Amino acid sequence: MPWMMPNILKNLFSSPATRKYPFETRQYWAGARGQLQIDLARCVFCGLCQRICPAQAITQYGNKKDPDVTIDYNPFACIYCARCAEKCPSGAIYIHESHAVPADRKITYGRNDISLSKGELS
Amino acid sequence: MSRITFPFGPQHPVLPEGIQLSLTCEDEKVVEVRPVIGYMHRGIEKAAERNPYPNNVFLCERICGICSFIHALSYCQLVEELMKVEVPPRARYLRVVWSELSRMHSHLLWLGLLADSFGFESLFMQCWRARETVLDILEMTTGQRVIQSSCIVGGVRRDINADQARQVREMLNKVKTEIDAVLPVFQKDYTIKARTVGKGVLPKGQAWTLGAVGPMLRASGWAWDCRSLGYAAYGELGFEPVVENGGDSYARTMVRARELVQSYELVLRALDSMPEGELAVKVKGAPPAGEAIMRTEQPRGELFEYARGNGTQQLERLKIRTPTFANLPALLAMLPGCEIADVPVIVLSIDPCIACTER
Amino acid sequence: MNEIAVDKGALGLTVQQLLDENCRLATTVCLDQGDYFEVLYYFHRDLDLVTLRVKVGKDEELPSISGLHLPAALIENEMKEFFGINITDIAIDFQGRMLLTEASLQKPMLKNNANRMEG
Repeated sequence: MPWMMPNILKNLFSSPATRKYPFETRQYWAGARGQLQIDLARCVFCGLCQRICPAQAITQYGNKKDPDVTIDYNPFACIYCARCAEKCPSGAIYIHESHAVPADRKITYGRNDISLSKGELS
Repeated sequence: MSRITFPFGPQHPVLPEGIQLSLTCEDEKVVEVRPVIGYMHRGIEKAAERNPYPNNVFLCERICGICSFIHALSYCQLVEELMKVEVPPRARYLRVVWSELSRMHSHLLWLGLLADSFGFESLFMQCWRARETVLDILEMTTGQRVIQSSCIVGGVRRDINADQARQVREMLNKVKTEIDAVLPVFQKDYTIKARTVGKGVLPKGQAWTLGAVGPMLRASGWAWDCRSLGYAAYGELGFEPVVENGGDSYARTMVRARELVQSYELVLRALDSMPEGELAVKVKGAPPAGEAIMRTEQPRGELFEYARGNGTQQLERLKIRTPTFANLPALLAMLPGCEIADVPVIVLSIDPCIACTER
Repeated sequence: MNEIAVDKGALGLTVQQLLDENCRLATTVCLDQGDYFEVLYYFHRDLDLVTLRVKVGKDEELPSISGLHLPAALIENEMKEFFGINITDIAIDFQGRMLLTEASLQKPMLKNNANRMEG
């Protein structure tokens, strides 16, 4: 008991250590790897991201000469290592700092499910 | 006298991961223990044989969440030894910084769990609040709090520039004041001593022959620490193992508390003496046919890794022997003779990381 | 680090010699080499390592060292479960159910057991 007294007195007179979530959310540090987004407008469809991904979360359909070539990204297979963002020669992969909110079903960003435009991610 | 057998685990509030110990008791004294493991087996060694060798770092990191960076570090050092790659000095110092930060957050987690195991919840919260600052440092410097993905074969991926280093020092000083407020409680409080002194005694000779590693061995009087082998930058920073002589749970608590302060000092020293240079060397080619061994010091003890290459991009065999696997026989020898109320404290005092044990 | 190639008949004697020098078992590694198994025993001698290398045929028996050194029982159970080596007289024998269940792939670490990706 006596050894905890300094702690107890300090905590009695200071503000709470917790934050009022969901009204206050945590600020992520710069460079944190939260969500991934692929900008199809800048992508040159070289396929490097698909080859380098350790979890096979990125799939490219077609090669760069096809008119309807596209890329699918599976955020539930992704391990958020950001190797694709390092390798991308055209800077088409953005890593946002905030993490995704929990989802109630598994989706794939791409031509079959949701389109990869910048406004969609929360 | 009648005996009763009941299971301790796999879900118990005190255990960080699932392990079952089938305890046979006479009245309140434990007479026999039989472990039942297998709840956390994921087949990592087999999975490592199918990935190209650079991708295995990400697999090895995810063996355990608490000791994640040192798993990645051991794997990278193992492949570097197999392929005869020389890592630049700045990368070696950065690896030491992140290893010691991992050790700090692991020991703070353990101190909190120990306090929680005898119901001292306010002390548990204080330890974990100090740990939050260490996790913030890790997120600021590597990008994520727990699975850092910062170590690659040939070096590291990110740098700590001068501005970040200044911020790291400020945050570490904040952690140190919080630790200084909490450690005297572990050292001198009457209730903590009553629950840990004399419980789970491992005599010096038995500790060695039963195969104990890490703080369990050092709390029984052996000055045995793999960081004395001088991997990464430990040879240049100078390092002495922390030793206690009691052999009981209190001695193990003191070893980890003193190692926490030692890690804080090692991080500051590594930041001060970090040389300039590049972060990684490019590693080309495939692991040659041959074998390599790497031993590093995790927060829980010695991690032993073995790899065999065969000239292809996939490793032929990767074997990982984690410290809790080596500490389990010592636990099974400590438990008979103790009372049921002491079982959670003794099990927790080996710092069980069952996800590591079963890979 | 020194290495000794040992015949499996002489394994017990060599291990006892090492134990008398105050060495202890660090771990064992098993390798599937096609038509035989190669088992490596690593012993700690202070901070150094001593290696024993034993070759066992696929249908031969390997004597357990857990009678001499009890902590070896856990790792020998694991080798028996994952590779199918016939290790006899293990002190605490989990009968192949230490880490795997009836429903899992048996002897998964053998080379010819496929390493497939699900999903």
